Amino acid sequence: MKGHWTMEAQKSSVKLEGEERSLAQVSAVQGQLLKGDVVESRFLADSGEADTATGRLVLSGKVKVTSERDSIYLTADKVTYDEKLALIIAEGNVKVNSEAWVSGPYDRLVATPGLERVGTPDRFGL
Amino acid sequence: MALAWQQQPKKYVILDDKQGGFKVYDVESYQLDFVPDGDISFDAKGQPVRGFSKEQGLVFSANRIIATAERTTGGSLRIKNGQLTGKVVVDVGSTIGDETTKSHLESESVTMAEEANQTRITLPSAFMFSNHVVSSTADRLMTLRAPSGTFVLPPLDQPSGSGNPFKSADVKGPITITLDSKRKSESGTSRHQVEMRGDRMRYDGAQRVLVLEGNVQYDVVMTPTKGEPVSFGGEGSQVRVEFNEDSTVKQVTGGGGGTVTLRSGGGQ
Repeated sequence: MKGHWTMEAQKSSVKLEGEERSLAQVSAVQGQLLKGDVVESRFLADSGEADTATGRLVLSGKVKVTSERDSIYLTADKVTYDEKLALIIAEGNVKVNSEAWVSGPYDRLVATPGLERVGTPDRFGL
Repeated sequence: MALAWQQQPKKYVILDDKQGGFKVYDVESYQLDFVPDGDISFDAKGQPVRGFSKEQGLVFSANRIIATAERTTGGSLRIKNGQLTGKVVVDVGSTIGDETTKSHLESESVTMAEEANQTRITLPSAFMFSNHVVSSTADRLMTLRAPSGTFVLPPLDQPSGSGNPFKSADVKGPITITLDSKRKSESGTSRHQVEMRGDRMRYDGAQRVLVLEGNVQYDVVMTPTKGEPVSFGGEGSQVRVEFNEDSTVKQVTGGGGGTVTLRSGGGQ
């Protein structure tokens, strides 16, 4: 099942290119990553850019993704959510945190949207 | 500036309990799976991967580690089970009262699994195991080399402190065992130096008895607290080593219809 997301922002601009593509650029963004109707995680970031043609959501600046079903969260400089792969690609000082432990920092990490699995790109066939 | 092909792969810390009590690091490729508020399973590759778990007195390294860690009541992490492959080195240490025990293991493959009130270590490939117990009365070093074996220990974070290297062991040969056992008393220090070879070894921790069977060869030098050392050796189907409660050698008995040669003095 492909993933998708919802997003809210304080400021936004949307550019429409024909009928099939829209580019939205937003700041002070928060939202959710979903699998069907189920919320997998929630995110916060300084800014975001969503491209409906590529199915990619790019979050930048103090990005935080919090698992909905576990007390763990991911922080990074940049997070790309690929809707078609239904995977998170995190870049820049990436850490996975919980109250009891920390994993990282990493330059780059791939994760499932609910953060049940994280790893190097080769572990996800990328 | 290094050329791209000369650059070393990056190494990462994949688990750190933030207390200095648990860490898995020097990892180049990894995958972690999280059970909600529960266990963490990881598959880590490196050259080698390194780690430690202080509550378990455990330090380990291997080229690949597939393991499950769980949270402890103290807020740290511990290894629940694991499979280590490729240049495996494991050190386990504990101190209870005045007794310090250090065990060292080297192999190409080690599997560790927690069972009810014990830890099972399975060694399907050639290994070297050493166990050193030091206390106010004892200094006993045992070294064992064999192609495969299974050891049962108390839970790693609940060492028994009884001078037993393990609860039980079953090792397949050809096996080489050396023992250097010193026992201190008011009258002085006595010593047993033992070298043994055989096809199969079993150890019973409750009885504190080690039995080596099959094509057995053994040499023993006993140095009493006073007097000259006595040496003897033999060949046969079995040799039996009994240990004192402080882990020192109590008695070595050859059996199975073989020959025993008693030599005066401490050497040839």
